[in-house]
Amino acid sequence: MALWVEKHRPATLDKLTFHSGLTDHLRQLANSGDLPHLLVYGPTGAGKRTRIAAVLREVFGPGADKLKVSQRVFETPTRRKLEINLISSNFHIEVNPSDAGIYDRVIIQDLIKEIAQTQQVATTSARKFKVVVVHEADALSRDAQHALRRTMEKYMGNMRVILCSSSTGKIISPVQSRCLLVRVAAPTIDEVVDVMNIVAKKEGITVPPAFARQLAASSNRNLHRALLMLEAAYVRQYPFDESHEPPLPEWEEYIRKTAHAAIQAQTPAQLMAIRKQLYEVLTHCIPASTILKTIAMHLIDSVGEALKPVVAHQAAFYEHRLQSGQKAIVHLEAFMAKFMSVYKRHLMDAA
Amino acid sequence: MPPKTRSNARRKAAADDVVNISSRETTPTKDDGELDVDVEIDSDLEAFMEEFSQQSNISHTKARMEKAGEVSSSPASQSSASQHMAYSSRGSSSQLSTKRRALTDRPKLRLLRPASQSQPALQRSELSANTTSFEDGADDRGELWWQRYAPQTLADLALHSLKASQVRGWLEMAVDASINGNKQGSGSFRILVLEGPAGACKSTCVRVLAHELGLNIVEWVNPLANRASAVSEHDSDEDEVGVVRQFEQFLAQAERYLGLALRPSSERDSQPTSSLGQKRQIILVDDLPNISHRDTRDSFRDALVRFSGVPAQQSFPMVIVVTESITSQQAFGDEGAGGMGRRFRETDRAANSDIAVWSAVDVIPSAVYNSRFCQSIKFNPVAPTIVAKGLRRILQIRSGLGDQKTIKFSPATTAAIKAISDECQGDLRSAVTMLQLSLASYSSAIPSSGKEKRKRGSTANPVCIGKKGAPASAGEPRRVSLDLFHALGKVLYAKREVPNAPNDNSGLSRGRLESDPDEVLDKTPVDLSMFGLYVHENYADFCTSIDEVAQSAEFFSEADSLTCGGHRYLGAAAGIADAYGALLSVRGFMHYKAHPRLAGDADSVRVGSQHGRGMAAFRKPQFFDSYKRRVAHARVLDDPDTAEILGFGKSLLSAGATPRVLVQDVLPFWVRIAPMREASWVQQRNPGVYQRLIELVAVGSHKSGATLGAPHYSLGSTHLALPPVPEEKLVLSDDDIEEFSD
Repeated sequence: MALWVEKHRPATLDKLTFHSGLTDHLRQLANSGDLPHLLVYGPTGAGKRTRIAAVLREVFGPGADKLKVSQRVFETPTRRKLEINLISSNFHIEVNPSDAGIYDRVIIQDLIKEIAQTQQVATTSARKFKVVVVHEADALSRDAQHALRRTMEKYMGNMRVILCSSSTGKIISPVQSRCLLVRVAAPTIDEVVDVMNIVAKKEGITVPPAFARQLAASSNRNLHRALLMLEAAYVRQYPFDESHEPPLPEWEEYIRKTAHAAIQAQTPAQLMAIRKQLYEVLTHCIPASTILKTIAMHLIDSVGEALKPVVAHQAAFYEHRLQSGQKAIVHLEAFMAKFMSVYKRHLMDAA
Repeated sequence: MPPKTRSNARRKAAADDVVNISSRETTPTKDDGELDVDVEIDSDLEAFMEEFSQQSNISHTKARMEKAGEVSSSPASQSSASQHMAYSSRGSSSQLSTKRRALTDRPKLRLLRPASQSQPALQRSELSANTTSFEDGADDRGELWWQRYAPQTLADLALHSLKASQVRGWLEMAVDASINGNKQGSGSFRILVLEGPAGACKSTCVRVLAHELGLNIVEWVNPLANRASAVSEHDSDEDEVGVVRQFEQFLAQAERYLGLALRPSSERDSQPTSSLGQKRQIILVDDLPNISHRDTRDSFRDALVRFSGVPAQQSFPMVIVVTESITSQQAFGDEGAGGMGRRFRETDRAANSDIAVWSAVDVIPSAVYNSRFCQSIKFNPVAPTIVAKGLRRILQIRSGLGDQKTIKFSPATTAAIKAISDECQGDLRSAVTMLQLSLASYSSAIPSSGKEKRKRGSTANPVCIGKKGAPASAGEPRRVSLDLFHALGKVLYAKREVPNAPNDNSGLSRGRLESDPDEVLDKTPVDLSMFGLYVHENYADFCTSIDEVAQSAEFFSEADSLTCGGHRYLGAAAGIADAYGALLSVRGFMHYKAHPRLAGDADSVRVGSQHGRGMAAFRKPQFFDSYKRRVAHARVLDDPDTAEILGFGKSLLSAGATPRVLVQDVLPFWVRIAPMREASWVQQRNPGVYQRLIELVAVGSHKSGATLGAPHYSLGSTHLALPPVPEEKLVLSDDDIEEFSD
């Protein structure tokens, strides 16, 4: 069973629908015979990975689509064995170093060195370099990024790196300056609706325009999610029930309720209830940053104008703490407590 | 090495150490110096053992074994000798190691065979010799009082009589069962576990009772403990396994063979030395193998399981003494508060079984521990009054008055006894040592007259020990740590003294803190970061307003970001940062706590307490439970079947789906789509993974968060509602707290 979002993923640059300017650039780049290091960044569901795959196909031909999964064992300096899943074709290799936690430097160094030191042997290949795709590059530790910076220069001869990241903020500037920055912005509502219509047509269904717009809006212009929502709505009822509000993922619903709880009451006991809910969300593998952001956005929507910047400031502050700390719950709770304290004072002032 | 010790060592070595002599003969000249060092180290060990264990039965065993060893009568010494031979035959190139091996083998040779022969008799005579020898002025230097004055009668035992009779009852039944095992339920008396903190008279109780009942004790003595120098030389793994094999052999031998009944097993018992009488024997395991070593522990447990299966009449009952100690790792496990370990089932700890926890369930496999073969008796720390009684008994013996009850102590002595018994935390052994120490410093201050004075005093009027001002406190007390909950209470209640008291440095118009945060942190029984988690879990209950909470939460947040710097490696500074972090959060909380209770203000009810009791119900951190469940949830994402079920080909990564994208975006919709579209396929494919994916998505389904309503999915007609999760006991009851307060 394949989800629509996988089934109808465009495989070549020609089939990409939006960001046509960017697509042209990428095509020219791929056909120029050489490829610089790339840093592809943009929000989730904007099509970063789709574009990377399309570029690889453009550069290396259909062979880049023949993927195999392998497991590699790396040994850390402390002699711990790490098993990492790799996806590779004859021309490129994909890795998600955040799997390795704090040992990502080892992975980056070993892997890149190994690839860089072996020449491209496939005679059919038009290019003499291989590509390493690093997913979630913003999760790379500083160490790993510095290691990357060195290897990027040293093995420029037969290796290219494509970094995929949600923003450039967490990529150190030496690495940024060695890459061509490719921004993949979130598609507009209209573009999302267009893609939905294309998918619907392939599936042989019709989507009412208003409903499509509603889905696109509630997906937050996340194409990936919009298509999933479309499919979920389709399996639920077809023809589409336009009055049915497309449901959010459980975790998001849950976090919204948590945020709402902070607005309802501001007591230590309420905070304890909130803590329990925060633990619950964390338990389900939702990253702490996502939780904080979701809560903050919901709070900003709910409070008066005077408090909005305060909430944003506190959210940013505790996001920073979150990054430098270890126990997410402490920071999430501190943020909630701070908000409740500020909000309570605000209410009392207003009264 | 100072020359004096050297010559001493040489003398000792020359006197009785055959192996040393032989080693010197074969020494190549160029290696002389080096080898000398080796020999000396070993001789030092000899000397140390000689001196230190003079009174312990080990030396008796040793002496006997040396005699026995010469004739090589026992199988163990034979095997040892053959081992020696094997090593020697390696040739001259490995002479050095051969010798070393030979040297280190010697303790093994002695100790491998514990005193299965008539040991109680020896011990007894030794003890009686000791007590009488004091009177004729024997020098007692280098001897520890707790050994010398170990009680020999039940009356002297610093133990509640009920406990003693429990143990006695078990021993009687067990021995009875091993003699005529045809009674009903006789098979139950296989293993007795005595649990308790150090110095709670566990071992002494067994020995004394065995003596009274006329039982022969076969004791396991850990070879490794006396082979510290050997471990570094050889592969430690090999040694470990060796120990366990030895333990198994020991058990097998102890089961099969009786101790040599050279004399009637007890003078007092009129039991004839028939075959029945000879079976009056118990196996004592006081000195446990190194169970923190995984392999050792596993095979140790296997040995116990096997042992418990042997019918009672074919074997002897076993007594295992488990000394509990609270380690920080223990508290860091899932069991929450330190010392509570034994309340938790073994399965709880399966996840981090690498951690060595010294409570009974860590030593004894749960299969045995919970079976009918095994009974456990728990010893509490000795109460201060009983400690004082024990100390007085020793002083009385020392005074030479024996059983006369007229003895009277000077106020200073009484005060010293009280101070010691209060400080020792129910550890009688350390109390006795403290007493010895304090009196040693006293008698050295008055060189010669001390004993005479006592002697004189004993003849004329009631003894006045410590008249000349024995130290009121017994020197340096051992490092005392607070109960976890005690320390927690000190922080969370943040009691303050009456305002405007002298030394008020709080800077506010409120009294200074009753307990110094530094001191509390210094005495926490657990890791600082663990303690921080406990404080964090409970602090909000002690705050009245959200402002207070927010201020404290800010400190906790800051402390966390200080202590563990994300990807930064702090190295040795981590410990310092930990200390700062703990201090920051604790001090921050205590400072901003708005309505402190005044010292002695016991009536005020805790703020936010659900029930109006004064006793706070501390919770254990949810952190670990949450973490464990998160790891369990995350595991499904690594499952290769997940990718396939999701239709992502061979790997999630090939679809560009990182775990984060998957959890946040894909899975929540997938669980809505999949059941409708290809339910039967998915379910046939891998229902387990499917179930786990659904659990991963279902945020809020766990009981702790169930207030917000749990979503339910149904897969076709199959009911896939989540099994009810038993709510874990997060709140500690009064019973738990009582356990800590005595």
